[in-house]
Amino acid sequence: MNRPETLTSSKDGQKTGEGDAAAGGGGWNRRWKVSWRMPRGRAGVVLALTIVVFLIAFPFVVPRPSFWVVSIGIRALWMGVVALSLIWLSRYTGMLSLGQMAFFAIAGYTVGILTTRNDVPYIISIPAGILLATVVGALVGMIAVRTQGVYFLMLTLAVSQLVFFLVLNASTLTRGYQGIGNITRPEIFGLSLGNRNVFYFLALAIAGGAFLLCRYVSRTPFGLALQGIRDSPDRMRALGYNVYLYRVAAFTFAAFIASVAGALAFFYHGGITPGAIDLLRSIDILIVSVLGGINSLVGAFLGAVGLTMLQNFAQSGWIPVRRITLTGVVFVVVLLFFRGGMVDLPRQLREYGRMAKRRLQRPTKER
Amino acid sequence: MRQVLTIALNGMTVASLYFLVASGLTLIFGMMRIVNLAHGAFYLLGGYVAFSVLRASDSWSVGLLVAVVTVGMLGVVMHQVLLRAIEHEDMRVALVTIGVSLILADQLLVHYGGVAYSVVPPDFLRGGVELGVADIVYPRYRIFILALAIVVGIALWLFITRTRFGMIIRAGVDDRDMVSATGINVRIVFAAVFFIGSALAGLAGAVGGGAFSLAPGTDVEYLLYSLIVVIVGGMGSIAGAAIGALLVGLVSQFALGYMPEIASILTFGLMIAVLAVRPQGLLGRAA
Repeated sequence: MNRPETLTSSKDGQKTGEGDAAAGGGGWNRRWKVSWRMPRGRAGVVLALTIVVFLIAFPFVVPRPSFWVVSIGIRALWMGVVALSLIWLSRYTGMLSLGQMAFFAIAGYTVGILTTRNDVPYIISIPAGILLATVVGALVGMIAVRTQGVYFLMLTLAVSQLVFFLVLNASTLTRGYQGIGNITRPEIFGLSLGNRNVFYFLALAIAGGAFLLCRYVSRTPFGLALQGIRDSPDRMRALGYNVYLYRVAAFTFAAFIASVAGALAFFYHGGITPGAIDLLRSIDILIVSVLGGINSLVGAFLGAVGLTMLQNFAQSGWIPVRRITLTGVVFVVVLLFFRGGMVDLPRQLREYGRMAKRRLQRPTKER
Repeated sequence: MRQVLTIALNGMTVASLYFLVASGLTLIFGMMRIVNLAHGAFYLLGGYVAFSVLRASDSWSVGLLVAVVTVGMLGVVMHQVLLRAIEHEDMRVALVTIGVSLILADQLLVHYGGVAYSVVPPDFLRGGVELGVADIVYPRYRIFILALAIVVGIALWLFITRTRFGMIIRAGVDDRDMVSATGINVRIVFAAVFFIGSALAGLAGAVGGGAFSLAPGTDVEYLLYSLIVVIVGGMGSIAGAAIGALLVGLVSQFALGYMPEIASILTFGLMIAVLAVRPQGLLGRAA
């Protein structure tokens, strides 16, 4: 059978039929065109190299490394990976999930319980945690992908809360509100993860790997089929694709990425508590994604840096507004006026400039 | 026997409260396709306003009234200022309401602190009632909540199906342009819907604040339960909200009575079971 190259590669569905756009339900990201593209050719290589060099030099050049490397750098890296799973799912399947923290939590708690309670070495407990979270992701996906749009959003929100309450209630295993702490950080090749820079580079490698994997998967035939399904599920079904299975697989993959972040954050926090996986954290991840740019994988990390800096500066009194209120205000402003997020900021500002100029030239005529 | 009856009554009164909250959520969604995720924060605000006014004026009914009007107005303002321009994008609207919910809950925490408050019911609603069955003496206030939910439910149903205004709302949902072409101001109609839906959250908060305490986190709890109720019952259906609330209320109370460790999980299990069979909810129209 001839695979429908033209359908799936029609530039992220900007030319979808009206009927399909209405049927999708999750049509929100299709209207958000991304203008930002990685420059091609030599400029692209130079830019990529500059970013890589900066990220590697980062812990050695910043002042107050305990703040910049730990509170901003590593934190932004693991938050970025969770946001990456959300953005990937939203961008390539049109499903906006508020449930990524559920898989993050399952992975973290599994590692913690296996190692601190049952003395399982990390080399087994970490893969076990990620595997369990991914399997749960597949099970949740089997139900969740039957719904669409806001229904999907509400259902995944409920799932993340279910895991939260499960953790609180199963206190014999999870130690309830206390959470799991007092862990010994593992060593990798003789380097202790207690060392700030070692941990930074590990987090950087994992985040980079997750980013490249997400990008790679979206370009495989599987990823192209997902985009076809996002744009027109009915046509893909008519072409013989099992839309349901593809959606479940995509959801499972996103759960896998989120659970990797969960295992990473477990070592970042030196444990895990219910406070680290509550509703506010889920909303944080959503804010990171929208702030960075819901339609761009790079946006996950930009947004994570943005949010961690915002919250840290608000907390330390640089900005005299309460942290959560400020986060909420920024979130609403981004949603209303900068829908493409930080990735798309230059283009949006240019557009506003052009609009203002037009207004000034013709002050009498509205629009 | 006595225990089973008491738990069943508890389930029904909790269900009444869930219905009061969820009916506003489902009304707004049914009419305007807007999911107001600030609904839980509206509930908390309603409770706090009722508490403050009660303390200042010493009148419970004034507190209730002010809470209902305040929260209703806030809903209208939120809709007019933040949501109207992006009304057709349901996802973005839902996300904006999450932002509003964050800001509102945080500001309430600033003003009321982390202590738990309660809206003390008036004398005539305090004390217990002998039901004459199995020697149960049941709190009068909880029976009041049950009665209130039934009255509100019937009133909403009559309002939507039997009045001219309800007719306009139903027509506006199906074909907005046609309705405004007949000379009806659809904007005002939709603003009214948002007022009523939000006011219901305020009412639920003011009333629920008398039976259960108000504290930070209450907003999330009620948002979550009303989401489960409308997901189970079917988004947009008032009758669905009633059935969903009853199911969720009974399941959660019986689970709390007999299997407290897994109570919250059973509630979610109910939702997942319903969704696995009917993704659109029990009485929902297919999306």
